[in-house]
Amino acid sequence: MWLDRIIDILPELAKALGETGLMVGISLSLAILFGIPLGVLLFVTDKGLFFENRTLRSVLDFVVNIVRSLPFIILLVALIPLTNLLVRTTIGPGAAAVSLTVAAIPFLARLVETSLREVPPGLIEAAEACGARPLRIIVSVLLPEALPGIIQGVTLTLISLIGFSAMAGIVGGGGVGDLAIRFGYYRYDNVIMLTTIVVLIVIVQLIQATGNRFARIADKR
Amino acid sequence: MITFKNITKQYTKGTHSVDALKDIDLTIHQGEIFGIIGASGAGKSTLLRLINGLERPTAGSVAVGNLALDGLSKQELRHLRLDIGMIFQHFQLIQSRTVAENIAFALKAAGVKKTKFAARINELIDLVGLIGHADSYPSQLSGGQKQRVGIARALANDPRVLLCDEATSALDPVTTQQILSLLKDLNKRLGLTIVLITHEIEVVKQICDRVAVMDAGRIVETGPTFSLFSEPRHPVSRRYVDMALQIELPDEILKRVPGKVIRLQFTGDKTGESTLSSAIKQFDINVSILHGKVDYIQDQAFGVLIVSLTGTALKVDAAIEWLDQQLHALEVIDYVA
Repeated sequence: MWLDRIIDILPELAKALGETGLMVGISLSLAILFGIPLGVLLFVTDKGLFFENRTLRSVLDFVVNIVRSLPFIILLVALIPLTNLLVRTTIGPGAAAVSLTVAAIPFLARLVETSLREVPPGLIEAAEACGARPLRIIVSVLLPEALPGIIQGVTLTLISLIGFSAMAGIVGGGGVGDLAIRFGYYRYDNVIMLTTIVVLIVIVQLIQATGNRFARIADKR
Repeated sequence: MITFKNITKQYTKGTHSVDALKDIDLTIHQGEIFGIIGASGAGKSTLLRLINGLERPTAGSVAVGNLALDGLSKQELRHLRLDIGMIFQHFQLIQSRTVAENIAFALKAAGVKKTKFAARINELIDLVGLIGHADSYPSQLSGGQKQRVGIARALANDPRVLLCDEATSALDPVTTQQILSLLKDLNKRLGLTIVLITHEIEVVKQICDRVAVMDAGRIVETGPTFSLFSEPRHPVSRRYVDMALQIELPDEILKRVPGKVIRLQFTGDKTGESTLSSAIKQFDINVSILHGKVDYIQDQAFGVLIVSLTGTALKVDAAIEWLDQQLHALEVIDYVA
């Protein structure tokens, strides 16, 4: 009986998965594209490093903290005008992706910054002693050495994005989380609620396992 | 080759300022192995880092060759660094990159063409004795092998100077020997000027031509290694030398020994024993050797003997006076009537 119910819901579930994939995919890609450089910038402008710049560093730090202190649901609503400007609509997965991206960039940037801090200062000094340019040090020393941590950071961002995307229903973004809320919560449909939860658990476990695997491969210590 | 003029280095933290270096004047010659020895916190690490501009002096000037470091732009400083290799106590290799890639990093920094990498890397791996390890990761290597990678990276761009920051302090004695002889060999073969800092007098004794002793931010003594051992002038130097020679008699033994106990020091061609045997013949005294050691520093013999002289007091005193004239240094340690 409940199996029939699940089969009935399969098309809905598939659509929801597609929407989640789209929202999370867009925002994760943009987070990687902008969050990693932002994390690097937060690190190299800090005290004692080669692009030390107190003003820039404080501004970046402040902005990152602001975005990170807003609950995602508030951010989602607050960014509606920006969303309208960027994607010319305020509903659908594309619209939700804007807020998700804005939340994900500083999130990942902090994690990247933290993994860069794990690189021994002596190694950075050694690279400077080789006569390398700052950009060369970033590309050939900092990023490769922090890679396992960055991979873990991307994994964590992805999982958080899946969590955040459950709220995307507010702006009609759809997705698996929204499906659980609409059917499971509003209609007391426990079968759908359980099904979506199981699906989400499986997805998150798979992502974490894959992330760990890649991080381990990258770790040569 | 490398000159320090009137160097002061202060670190300021809030209202508190600490003098890391004070009144440093020093010249290091081309082609020599120059050692800087001192306890941790003596300022030797800061002094070493002034040479490649990792640290800037608060006052005074540093020059490498004819180039003063004071007014260099970042670009010029990077260029100078290609000419000054550096190795570290904890090796500081890129863990996520292979041996070959670690060496390639230095080549990339210098803007060497990629097509020339393979040949140069092979050459360097051969030079430091790491054949077969090009594709190993640092974590797969022993400490000595890691330091060899460090040396290969430091030498990648044919520098004139090699800076060694406690390069053997994290290594076991056997590996230390191997790395020191590699450094000595590179110094001879490539005419490389080596500046090393260490807290181990053994390292100085084995490979340094000249040495500076540092204490609390100052250089308290500078000179050829042999002179440091044969006539240390500053108390800190003397402590290091005593540590290296490790010649001391337990008090218990000193009490039991009859006669006058003296410590003789001899250097170069005047060996202790022949002088002693002359003394025995001339003054009709008995000599028994309690302790002795001969060391070779920069291929010169340097020895210490602790002997007791017995005989009539008059003759013993005359013998001591004569020995004092003959030998470099003599010290009456204890007198037991």
